[in-house]
Amino acid sequence: MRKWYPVAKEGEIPKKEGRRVYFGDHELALFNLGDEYLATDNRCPHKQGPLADGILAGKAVFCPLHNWKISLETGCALSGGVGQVKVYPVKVTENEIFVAFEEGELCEPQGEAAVVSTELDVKDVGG
Amino acid sequence: MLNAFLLLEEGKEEMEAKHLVVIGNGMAGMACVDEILKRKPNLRITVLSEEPYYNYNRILLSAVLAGEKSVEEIYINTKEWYDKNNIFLCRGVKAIEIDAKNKTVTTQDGSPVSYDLLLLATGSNPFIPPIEGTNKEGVYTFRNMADVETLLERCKTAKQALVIGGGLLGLEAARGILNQGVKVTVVHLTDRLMEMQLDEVGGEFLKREIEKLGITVLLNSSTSKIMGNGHVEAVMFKEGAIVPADLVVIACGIRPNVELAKRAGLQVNRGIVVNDYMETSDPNIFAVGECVEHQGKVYGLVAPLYDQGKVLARTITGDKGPKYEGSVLATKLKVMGIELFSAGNFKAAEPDMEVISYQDHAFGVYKKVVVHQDRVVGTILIGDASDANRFLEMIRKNERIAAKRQTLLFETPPAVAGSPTDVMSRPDSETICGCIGVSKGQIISAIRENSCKTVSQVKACTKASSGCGTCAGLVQEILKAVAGADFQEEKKEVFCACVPFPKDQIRIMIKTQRLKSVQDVLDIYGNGTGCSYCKPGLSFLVDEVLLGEHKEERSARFINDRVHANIQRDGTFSVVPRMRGGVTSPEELRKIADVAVKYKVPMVKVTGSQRLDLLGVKKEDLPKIWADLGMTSGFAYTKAVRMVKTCVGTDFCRYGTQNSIKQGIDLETNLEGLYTPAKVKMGVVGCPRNCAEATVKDIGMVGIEGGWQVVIGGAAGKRVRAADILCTVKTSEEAMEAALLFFQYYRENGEWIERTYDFVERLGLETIRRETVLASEEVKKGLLERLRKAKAKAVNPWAVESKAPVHPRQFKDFVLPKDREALIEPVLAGDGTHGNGK
Repeated sequence: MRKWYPVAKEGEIPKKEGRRVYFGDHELALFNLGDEYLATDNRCPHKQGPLADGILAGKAVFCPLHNWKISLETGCALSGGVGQVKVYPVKVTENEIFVAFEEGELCEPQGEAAVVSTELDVKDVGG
Repeated sequence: MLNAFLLLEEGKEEMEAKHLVVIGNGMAGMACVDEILKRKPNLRITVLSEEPYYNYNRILLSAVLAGEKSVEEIYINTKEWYDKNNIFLCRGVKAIEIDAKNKTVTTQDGSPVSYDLLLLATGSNPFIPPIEGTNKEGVYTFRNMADVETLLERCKTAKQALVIGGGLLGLEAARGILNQGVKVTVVHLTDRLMEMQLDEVGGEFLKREIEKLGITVLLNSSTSKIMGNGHVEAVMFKEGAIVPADLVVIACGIRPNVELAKRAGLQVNRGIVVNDYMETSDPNIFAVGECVEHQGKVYGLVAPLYDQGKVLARTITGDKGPKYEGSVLATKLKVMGIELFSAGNFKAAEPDMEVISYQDHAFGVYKKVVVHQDRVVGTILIGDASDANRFLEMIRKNERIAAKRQTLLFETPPAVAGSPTDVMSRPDSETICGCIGVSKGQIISAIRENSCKTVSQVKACTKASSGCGTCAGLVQEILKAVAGADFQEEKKEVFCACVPFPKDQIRIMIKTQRLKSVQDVLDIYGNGTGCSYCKPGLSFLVDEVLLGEHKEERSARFINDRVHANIQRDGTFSVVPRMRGGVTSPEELRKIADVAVKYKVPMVKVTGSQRLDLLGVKKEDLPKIWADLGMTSGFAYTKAVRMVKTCVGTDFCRYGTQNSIKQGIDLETNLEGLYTPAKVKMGVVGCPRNCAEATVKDIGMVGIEGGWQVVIGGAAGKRVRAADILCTVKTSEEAMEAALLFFQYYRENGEWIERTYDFVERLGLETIRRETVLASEEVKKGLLERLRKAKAKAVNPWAVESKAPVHPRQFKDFVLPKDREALIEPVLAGDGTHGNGK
């Protein structure tokens, strides 16, 4: 059964940005669209990019890794490829933002630092 | 000039061809000549042009003033056209006398030109009302290219402009001046703007739209005096009010230019009187265009000129065809942001005329169709002129409309903003280009016959959209449908589908309207939401155009620019401190090593850019690492100045001829912290052995014996391209200046995410040289000054945001402790939907 979890206070997420929310080892992405909040899994169906770090365009987010466009309403990929992430109900009560989910349904965090060292994406590591 | 004529005269006997002399090099004259040429006549053609330009599109002068088009872009016929067709063009030569009896024209330098046939296409002159002070400095008309050039120059310093006349030309001038960053007031004599083209309601709609642009409108204002001591300072009205102005444009209408014709003894009323074959009262003299009066009517618009030209071409080539029977008057206002069309009998003045109309004040849409005896005779469209050609066609064809009367105003349901009207469903006979008179069918066959791929190719072979240009969208739709996969976008693409304007135009909008944020640009000129392409792009543009005075919106930036680090495939970040010229020190290395240990950085790597990369850093550790390092951001995560690689140079190298390390560090110091259309990597080498690979960098300097070569547009990435030599100079200072000039020029003119190697190829090395190192001192000073101002606003974001992040949660995720069960309530049925608003 999904329960409402108090996640953040209003004003804690900058307007038109998202933030990652950890729940133990699991995580979701919470977005402030300016006039409402929306929540999804934080892993892009393509290569598990952190959607919370993406650029918002209306009610969609572009994954920061390879620019897949994900609908925040349905979780469906709108461009890039085929895929879907879970979406979670959000409500705001007395300045507190609640997200409803069931323990265990959230996605695992995106690869921890431990996996970095062997396999670097050489495409644009900066330098 | 005289010699040229003599030569022509000598060749006359051999050629037998009759000599056609055209006075006037404007749209009407040359359109007629074009029609004449199509008939392959045995004629020798001389054109006397008072203006020193090739034939240009006068209608688009307002677009040049508005900064939407360059002078080159509005030429209709260039030198090649005159040469190819053996037309002898005398530029800057004014005809002062016609001797109709002896068939000669005298020019202002005294040379007589004899003719067999004479075509008068003298156009019209601006009407200057009898107001005191119109001769003061700072008072101009708006009629020709010279006027536009003067106005553009004056707009650089003017503070407050005033346009006398709220007709078509006055409003277009006002919009243009506004775009140049000068405040504008339009004063109009009567109670309605564009009263020649609009009814009362239309005038009201237009006034609101004009005011929305930020232009002040004063109606019922009769100017009595232009005041000022030598230079205009203010304008006084009949009722006594005084409005300050340091730039005044008189746009009170035009008068046919008939002086020559009058003195030559031709029949002249308001215009030069012509019959239905465009013949004047002299059998060897013809006239076309705005200077003409036909059946008591004088036309000041473009479509009639083309109609007349077609008739006259047959007359002149001895093949008299269909008569000219007058034209339906139709007007389009070419003011960015306002759609307005008016045609025919829009006033419904006759008692048995009916009006069908629609008004939507919220959207600023006004549509009016005047019907007379079951036929459309006039229309006014404001706010949505997509039906302009449909109604114009009905007026021209005089067709009965009873059957479609119910859907007359909205043939299809009102279009959603931005959706193209379906031109392919219209009949082939329908006119697409109302100015030139080109039908859909003609465009389709031209596309097929000439295998057109771009709109400009269609334009070249049909002339469609070469008039006012508003039908270019329709032409493109047709081309897309006919050419299918062969269709190619024009080179000047729109910035993004979200903000459908070319980049240059967006720069002007940002600059003249001081649009400080990405959201402002998207709200006013775009779809309001943007995307992952245009939001970062516009972030760069507002910064670049406003020289750092923009409003920073982190939400419009890519994650790398929100946290000043490069996101990696696992969601961690990399940290690359700046090491100018690739030179470091034991202290810096120690700090980097300490940080790597303290934050358990999984990998430390030497990059290809002569600096060190700390990979696998968690977002929340970024500000702490920056604070511990105390170094400057290397900007290795964004479209900005990356680094300058150097070789050892004269400091240590036994081959070095120049001090590349010092020059490289200076170059990096001069440019670091600045954003660019795409990343800029640089290199400085002390000799042509090129050890730091400067010739495959965006900007490079190569030390040579006694000087430097400055090179640009090199690449060793996805493409490999050897850089081009921008210039060779003697001193380090000269080399630096050349590099800075190119850098700023690229910042201002590069397309978003266009690397210098594509930029250099797109513009061509010669253009870039001409606009940078070979430009006038003033232009160079401008580039360097803007660079200086932008640089003064550039900061080291690590220093600033390690202490004061833009938001308390900029680097911090939310962590929900699992033991907060007490606060958790179950979700009830119907309790809170997804995306519950606040």
